[in-house]
Amino acid sequence: MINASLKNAKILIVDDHIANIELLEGVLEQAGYNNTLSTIDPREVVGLYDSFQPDLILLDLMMPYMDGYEVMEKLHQIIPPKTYLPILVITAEISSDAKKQALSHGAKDFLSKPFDIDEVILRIRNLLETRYLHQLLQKQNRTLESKVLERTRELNKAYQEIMIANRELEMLENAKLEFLSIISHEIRTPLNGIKGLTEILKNSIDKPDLLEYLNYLEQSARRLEKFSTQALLITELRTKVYRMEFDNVSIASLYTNATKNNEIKIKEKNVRVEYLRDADLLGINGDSNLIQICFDCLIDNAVEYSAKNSEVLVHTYKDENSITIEFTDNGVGFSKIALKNLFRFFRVGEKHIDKNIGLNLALVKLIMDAHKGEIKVVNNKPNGATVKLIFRN
Amino acid sequence: MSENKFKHSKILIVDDLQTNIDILVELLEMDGYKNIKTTVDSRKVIELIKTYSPDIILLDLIMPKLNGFEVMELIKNEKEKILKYDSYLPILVLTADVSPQTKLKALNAGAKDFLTKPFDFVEVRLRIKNLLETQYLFQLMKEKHKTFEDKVITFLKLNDEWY
Repeated sequence: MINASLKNAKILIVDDHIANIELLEGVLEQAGYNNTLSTIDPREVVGLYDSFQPDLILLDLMMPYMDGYEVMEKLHQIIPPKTYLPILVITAEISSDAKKQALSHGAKDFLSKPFDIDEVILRIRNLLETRYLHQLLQKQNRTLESKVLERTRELNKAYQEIMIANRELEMLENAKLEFLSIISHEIRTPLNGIKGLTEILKNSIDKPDLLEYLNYLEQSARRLEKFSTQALLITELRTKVYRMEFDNVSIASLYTNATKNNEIKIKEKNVRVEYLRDADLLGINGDSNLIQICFDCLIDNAVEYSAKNSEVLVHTYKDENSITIEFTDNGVGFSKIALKNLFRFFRVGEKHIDKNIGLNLALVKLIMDAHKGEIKVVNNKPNGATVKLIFRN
Repeated sequence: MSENKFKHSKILIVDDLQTNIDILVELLEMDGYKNIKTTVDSRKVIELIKTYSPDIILLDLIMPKLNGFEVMELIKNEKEKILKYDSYLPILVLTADVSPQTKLKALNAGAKDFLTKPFDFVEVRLRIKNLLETQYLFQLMKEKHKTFEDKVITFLKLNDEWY
């Protein structure tokens, strides 16, 4: 490839002796260089440089009107900097000083008369090779620069697009949270009426089947109320509106409150909720309201999943730098899909996974995040599941 | 002379006459070259290419045991083993024999150019400098290729991070 490129090189021959020119032209042609141009008038060189754009100049030193040194000086003025234009000087036997002078004027090498043909070819080839490399490098630099520019532009464009998409997502997320906040507020007001009137009706009706309906109505209202409370809390946590109040929260009272809050369900299923703790472990540093919600939710979940007459274990223990609370049940455990999606809620395009889990785990996860803690969920063998809350000290 | 751009280039001189070597070393040191290695035993050249990895070799033609042509033949045959992939090692032949036949033979054996004895110091400097320049450009090309590849890889990585 390099050879093919070299053969196309443009060579300008400047010599006042037509015989020399003819000889050089012949030698070059035989070597495969077809792009040569010659002149016997050194005054033409500058013009020819412009029109012919040679890759190499063979230049005689001793010429009438203008000698080789002068030609090189003139060329030096018009050749752009950083251009590697080899000038091969043709001389009869000359002194070292003359050679030095030629070199300082821009000559790259010499050919001495009478010509040794192999040497002519060799020296031309070597210099052309160097020029070729120079040009290749410059071209590559330009390509590299333009490639880098192009890729940078592409990257910037992609970045802009992502930023726009991001903003749109943020807007959507805000709209979603705002919507949640509105509905949970708006649910609570009518719920008041439903709950109050149900209570009144319960006291004034004694037909057993109607009482059962009323109980169901009351239960449904309670669930709706719980949903609205949780949705509001999630919104507040997500938007960081919720103000955390840190306290040393007693684990024993968290447990007692949670069993009380889930009393109906626990009785219904006749599940024993056992409590086990390290002797010296009394409290957790956190927001008592939020941690209570964690306990409520997780005991609710555990009991919900448990078989009738079984047992749920709440076990707390302390490590060097963390406190762990485990909620273990003997139920069927989490399904694979559920395990994957435990902490998500209201995701576009996803069906709600399990009516019983509802928002519980997603909410607990948010609360643990707010405490810079961790939540882990594992299925046990042969059955049952454990949810671990880990608080860092 | 302005600051020598190639003063750190590694030059290997092979000549069976210590005097010739001394002259060349003296001259090159005057020009600022700092990395010159020499040997009077041409059988050591292959080993020296491996261990020293010179940027240019100045090689005498007429030597006992292993002459310049044979050295070049060896280099050619062992090229893949002793030179790194894609590298360029110019050989500048030192000879008192100016006959076209000898020159042609040396060229065919792999020489890049000649220096005829007795040395014209201007030409010695000039030819070494020219060949080192070509060698330098080759090296630069290789590095550019590498840089370009690295840049592309960086971009691809960046892209991956984005998407």
